[in-house]
Amino acid sequence: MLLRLFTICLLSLAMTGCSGLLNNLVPDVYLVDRHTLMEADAAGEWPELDARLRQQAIKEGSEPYAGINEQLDEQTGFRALNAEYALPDANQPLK
Amino acid sequence: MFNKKHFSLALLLSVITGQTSPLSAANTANVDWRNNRVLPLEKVTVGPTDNYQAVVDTNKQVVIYTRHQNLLSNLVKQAFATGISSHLLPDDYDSKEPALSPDASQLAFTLFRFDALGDVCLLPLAEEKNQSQQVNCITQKGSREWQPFWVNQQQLGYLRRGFSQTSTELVLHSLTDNTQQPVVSGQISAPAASPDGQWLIYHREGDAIKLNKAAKPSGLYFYNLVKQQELGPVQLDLSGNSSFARFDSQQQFIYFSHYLNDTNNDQKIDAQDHSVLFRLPLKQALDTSQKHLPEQLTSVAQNCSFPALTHEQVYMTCAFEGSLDTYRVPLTGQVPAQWQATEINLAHAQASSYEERLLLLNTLRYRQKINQQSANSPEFLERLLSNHLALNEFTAAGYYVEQLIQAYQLQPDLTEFFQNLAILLQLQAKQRLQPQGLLTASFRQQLQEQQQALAANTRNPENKALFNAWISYLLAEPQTAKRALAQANANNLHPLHVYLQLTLANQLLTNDPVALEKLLAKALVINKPAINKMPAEARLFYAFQWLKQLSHPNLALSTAQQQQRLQTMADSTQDERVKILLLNEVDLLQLIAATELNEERRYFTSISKRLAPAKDDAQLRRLAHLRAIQLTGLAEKYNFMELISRHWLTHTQISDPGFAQTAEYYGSINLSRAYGSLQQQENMTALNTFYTLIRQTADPEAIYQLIYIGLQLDNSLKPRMELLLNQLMAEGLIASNDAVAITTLELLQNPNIETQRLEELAAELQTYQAKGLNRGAADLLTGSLYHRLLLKTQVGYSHNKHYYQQAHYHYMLGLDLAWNNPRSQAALLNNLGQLHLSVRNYGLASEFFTLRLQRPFVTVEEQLLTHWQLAQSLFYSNRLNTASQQTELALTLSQQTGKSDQLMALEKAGFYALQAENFLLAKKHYQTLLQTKALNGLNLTKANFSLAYINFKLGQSAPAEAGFKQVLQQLPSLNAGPFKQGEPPRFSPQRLSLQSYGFLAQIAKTPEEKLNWLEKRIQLLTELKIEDLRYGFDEANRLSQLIQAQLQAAVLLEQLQRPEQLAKQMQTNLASLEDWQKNGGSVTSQPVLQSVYNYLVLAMSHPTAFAKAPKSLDKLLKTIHNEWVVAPVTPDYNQAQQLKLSLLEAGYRFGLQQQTSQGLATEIHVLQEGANWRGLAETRPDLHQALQALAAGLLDLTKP
Repeated sequence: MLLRLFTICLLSLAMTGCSGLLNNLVPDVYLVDRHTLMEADAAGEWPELDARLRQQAIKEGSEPYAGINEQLDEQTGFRALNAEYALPDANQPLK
Repeated sequence: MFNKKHFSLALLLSVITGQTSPLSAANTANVDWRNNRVLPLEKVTVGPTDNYQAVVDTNKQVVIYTRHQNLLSNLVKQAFATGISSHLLPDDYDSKEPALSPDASQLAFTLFRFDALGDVCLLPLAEEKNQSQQVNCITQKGSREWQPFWVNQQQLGYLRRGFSQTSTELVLHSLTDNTQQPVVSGQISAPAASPDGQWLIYHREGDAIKLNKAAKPSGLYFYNLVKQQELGPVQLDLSGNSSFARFDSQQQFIYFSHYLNDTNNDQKIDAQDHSVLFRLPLKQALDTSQKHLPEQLTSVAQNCSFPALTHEQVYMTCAFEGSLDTYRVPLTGQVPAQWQATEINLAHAQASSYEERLLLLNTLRYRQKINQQSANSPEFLERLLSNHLALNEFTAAGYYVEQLIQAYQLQPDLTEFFQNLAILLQLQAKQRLQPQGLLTASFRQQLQEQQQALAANTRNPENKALFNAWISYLLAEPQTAKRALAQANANNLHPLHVYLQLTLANQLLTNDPVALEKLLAKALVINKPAINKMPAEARLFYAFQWLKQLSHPNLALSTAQQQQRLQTMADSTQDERVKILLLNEVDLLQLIAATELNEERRYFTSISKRLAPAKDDAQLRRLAHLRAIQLTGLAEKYNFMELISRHWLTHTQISDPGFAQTAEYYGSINLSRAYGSLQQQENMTALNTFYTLIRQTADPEAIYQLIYIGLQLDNSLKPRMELLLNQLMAEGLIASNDAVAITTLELLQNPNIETQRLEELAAELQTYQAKGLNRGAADLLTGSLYHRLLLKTQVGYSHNKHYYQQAHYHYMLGLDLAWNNPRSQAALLNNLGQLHLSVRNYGLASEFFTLRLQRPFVTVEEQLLTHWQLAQSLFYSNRLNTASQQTELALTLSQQTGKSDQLMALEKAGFYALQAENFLLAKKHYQTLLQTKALNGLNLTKANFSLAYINFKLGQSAPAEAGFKQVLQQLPSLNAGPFKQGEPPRFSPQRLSLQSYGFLAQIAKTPEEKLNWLEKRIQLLTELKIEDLRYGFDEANRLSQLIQAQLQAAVLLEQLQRPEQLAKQMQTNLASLEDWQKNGGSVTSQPVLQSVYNYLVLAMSHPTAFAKAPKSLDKLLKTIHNEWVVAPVTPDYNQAQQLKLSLLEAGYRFGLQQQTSQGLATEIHVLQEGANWRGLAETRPDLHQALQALAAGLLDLTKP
C-alpha cells in the first residue's frame, strides 16, 4: 500500500513540474536581485575600501601619469610624414 | 624644480625668437587660429548606442535621429543646448528613418510595430503626450514600405516592395486624398526630393547583366516630376559609388555619400565601405554628358554618411569612434571656405594623416578647377595616387593609375610602369583575401602567371626588376625579391618607382640596416642630373628617414662617425633644405653629448639660427623640429625638448593653418613634460610648465592642474599658484571669470559644495568657450559636476535621470575631444565606469572599466580598485568567470600594495571564485584567508559561511556541517546595519540563519536530525515579521519558503512513521495556504498545489490520523478547480490539472473510507470517458499518459 501511495505521490508531482520535495533550501525567488543578496550574505564588507572607492569615483582632471618617450612616436606630429611622389611639373604646379 | 637653468633657457628662447605668447598675439591678430585649420567634426550625439539618420529642426533647436540599442531601433529627440534626449515613441515601437516635414510639424518614419516588414507612419510633433496614440500609419500591411521623404507638405514619397517582389518601387503618396503613385522601379534606395518638389534623387543599383541594352549603370539618378523623366547616372570624376543624396535649401548643390574604396575588403564597393561626403553644384549634376569633380567635405577617416542639411551646417552620421553618431560641420565642409591654394598647401604640408591630405588635395583640385589642365595634370594625379598608396587603398589608387596610363601614352617606359603598377594593385588587393600567413594555390598560380607575363612583355629593365621583386615578395620568396630589387639601380627613376623600391626594401631589409641606409642615401643625393626627377619634398623626407636609419642601433656608429657621415652628405648635396636638416643633426648630436649649459646653449642657438629660413617652409619646419624633439626626448633632455617644441610654435605664424596643430603638439609634449615632473615630485617645475602651457595655449587641462598643485598637492605652492593665475587673468590670457578656473578653485577648496552651487557651476561650464585647445578637459570637469550632483541626490535605487544623462553626455563628448589625450581618456573612462556602476548599468560599466584598464595608472592601488570594480560590474552582468579572473589579477597586483589590500584581495578572489562555481579555487582562497586570522566579526562569519557552502558543494559534509554550525554560533553576536526604505538589503543574520538551517537539514544523516534543523527553519520563518525588504523577500515569499519547509518536514515525519504529527503538520500547512492567498498568492501556484496534492496523498496513507479534515480543504479544492477554468477555452494543461485533482480527491475519499472501491472505480471511469480526458489523448498525449498512470495507480489501491 505504501509503495503504491509513493508512486501516486510521484505521479501527482510529476505533472506539476516541481523538482521534488527536498529541493535546494536556499531561497531561489527574490524580490531583490540575487547578486545583491549574494553580496550581502557572503561578500566581505570593507568600509575603508568603500571610502577609497568614493574618493576615486569622480576624477575632475586628467590622470597625471608620466611616460613621455613611449608615446612620442604615436603623437600627431609623427603621422603622415611621407612625401608625395610626383614628377615635378614645371609648367603648371598648383602651388 | 623650476631651476635657474630652466629659466635661463626660457629667456634664451624669447631672446632668440622675440616672441612671447601666441595667445597674446592672437588677441591682436585678425585670425581665429582655433578654426583656421581642417575643422574637426563637432559631435552632436553620444554613444555607446548607435545614433544615426539625424534630421534637424533649427527652430526648436532639436535633432531627431534613430537610436539602435538592444537590437531595437527607436526615434529619439535631443535638445542641442543640453544634450538631453528622450524617446519619441514607446520603447516597443521599433522605428527608424525619420523625415521631417517641410514645416517641421510632422515626422514621417518607418515603423515595425504593426507590420514586421515596415510601414510608413506619421507623427505630429506639436503634441508632447500620448504620442503612440497620435501615430498614423499611411501604408498597408503585407508589403514593405520604408525610407519616407517629403516632396511637399501634402505629399510624401517612400520605397515599396511587395512580399514576393524583387524590385522596389518609388511611390508618391498624397496625404490629401491618400492616393499612391509609383514613379520608378528597380533596385532603388535612399530617395529624396528637391525643396521645390520638381526633382527626385535616388541611388539605382545597376543591372547585373550588362548585355541588356536597356541596362542602367549604378549611380545617382534624378527624376523630373514635371517631365516624368529619369536622368542619370550623375557623372563623377571619382572611383566608387554614391548614395544618400540630398538637395540644399537653395537647390544649388546636391550633397551625397560616396564610397571611394573597398575598405572592408569584400571585393566590392558598397554601403558597407567607408564613406565620404561630397557636394556638387546641381547644374553640373544634371549635366550627365561629362564627368564632374565634386567637392570633398569630410575625410575618409571619419566614415560619414546620411547628410542632413540646415541653412548653415551639414549634419551627418559618422562611424569612427566605436559607435555611429551624429556630427556637424559647416556646409562647406571640413576645409575652411576661405582657404585657397596658399592656405591649403600650407595645411597639406603639415597634415597629420593621409586621409587629411587627400581631403586637402581634392579641395584644392575642386577650388582651382578653373585651371583644368593643372587639376588633371599627371603631377596632381600622382600626388593623389601617393596618398592612396600610403593608405593601401588599392581601388582608388587604381582609378588614378588608369588615368596616368592615358596621360603618359607618349612615354613608353612610364606607360609600362603604370600598367605594371595597375596589375600590382590588383594582386595586392587579392592578397588581402589570403588566409593569414598562407598562400592559396590559385593565388600562387596567378602570381606565377603574372611573373611570366612580366618577363615576356616588359621591356624596361628597371620596371621588370621592380615588379618582379614585388611579385616574388607576394609569392613569399624574399631572397628572390631581394635579388630582383638589387637589380633596379638606375638613377633616372620616376619618384613613385623609388617609393615602391623603398617600401619593399623596408619590408625585406628589416634585418639589414646597412643596405637600407645605402638605399635611402641614394635617394637623397642630388649631384647627378637625372635624380632631379625626385621632388624636393620627397628628397627632404628621405633625408629625414636616412637620419633615423643612421642612428639605428644595429649600425653601431659612434657619434663622431655619425657626424662625419652627416657632414660628408651635407657637403655633397645641392639641396639647401636637406643640408639644413643634416647640419642640424650634427648640432643636435653635440647638444645631446654636451654636459655644460653654455655648450648646450651654443648648439641650440646654432640650430635656431639655421632654422630661420624654415619659418616659411612648413615641411622643413615640421621635420626639423620633430627630429630635434625626438632626439632630445630620447636623450632625456626634457628642458631642451620643451624649448624646441616652443621654438616650433613660436616660429609658426598664428595665421598659418598648421598653427593649431603645432599648438596641440606643443601642448601634448609639455603636458607630458609637466606630468613627468609631477611624478618626480618636482612640483614647482610642474607648476611652471603648466603655467607656460596656459600662456601658450590656454589649455583647460593645464588650468586645472595648475590649481590642483597649489590647492591639493603642495600647499606651499599655493601663493605662487595664485600669483600665476592672477597674472594670466590680468594679461587676458584666460578670462577673469574662466569657468574652468572658477569651478576648480571652488571644488578643491570645498569638496562639499551645495547642490545649488554645483548646478550653477555646471550651467556656467556648459556654455564654456575654451580660449585654447583641449576642450575635452572642460567636458570632463562639466561631467564630473553632474556626476557629483547625481551621487549627492541618489537615494537607494532611484537617481536623477537628468544629472545622469548630462554626466554621460559630457563624458562622452570629452572622450571624443580627447582622442589624442590618453590622460583625459583615462579619467573619462574611469568616470564613465563609475557613473554606470552607480546607476546599476553594469554592462556598460564593465565596458568602460575594461577600456580604462587598457591605459596606464598613476598608482597600483588605483589599478587594483579598478579591477575590483570591473569584477563587480561583471558579476552583476552574470559574467561570473570573467569577474573571477579580474579578482585573480587583483590578487596578484595586491602583492605590490599594503597588507590590508592583500586581505581584501584574497577575500574578493574567494567570493568571486565561489560565484563562478570554481569551488576548489574558492576553497583555497578562503582557507588562506582564514589562516591569516586577520578577520573578525561579520567578515569572519561570512568567510566561514562561504567555506561551509563550498564544502557542501564539494560533497565534504563533515567540514560543511561544522562550518554552518560555527556560523550559527557566531550569528547572535552580529547585528544587521540600519535599513532604509528604498535601499538594497544588506547583511541579515536571520537570512544567514535560514540558509544555514536549510543546508544543515540537507547535510544531516538521520531523518531526526534533518527534522530538527527543519523545525528551526520553520520556527524562524514563522516568527519573521516582514515589514520591508530588509530580508530581501516579502511576506508572500516568506510564506512560500515556510510552506516548502513544512512539506519537507511532513515527508520526514512520514519516514519516521509519526502519522499524528504528520497530520498536524499538514493541517498547519493548509493554514499557511490561507495566509498565502491573503497575501495575493495564486491557488494554482506551486506552494498550494504541492501542499494540496501532498495532503490528499498522505491522507490516503494515514486515514486515521487524517480522519478529521480541516474546514478549509473543501473550499480550497473548489477554488482550485474554478481557477483552472479559462474563458472561452480552458487550455489542455489546465484541463489535465483539473482531472488530476479530481482523481486525487476520489482517491482521498476512498482512503478515508468515504467511498467504496466500486465507487472509486466508477468515478475514475466517468472521468476517463469525459470529453476532456479523451480530448487530451489527441492534443496532449504526454499529459494523457500521466493521467492514465495516476488512474491506474489509484485503481491498484482497490485491489486486495
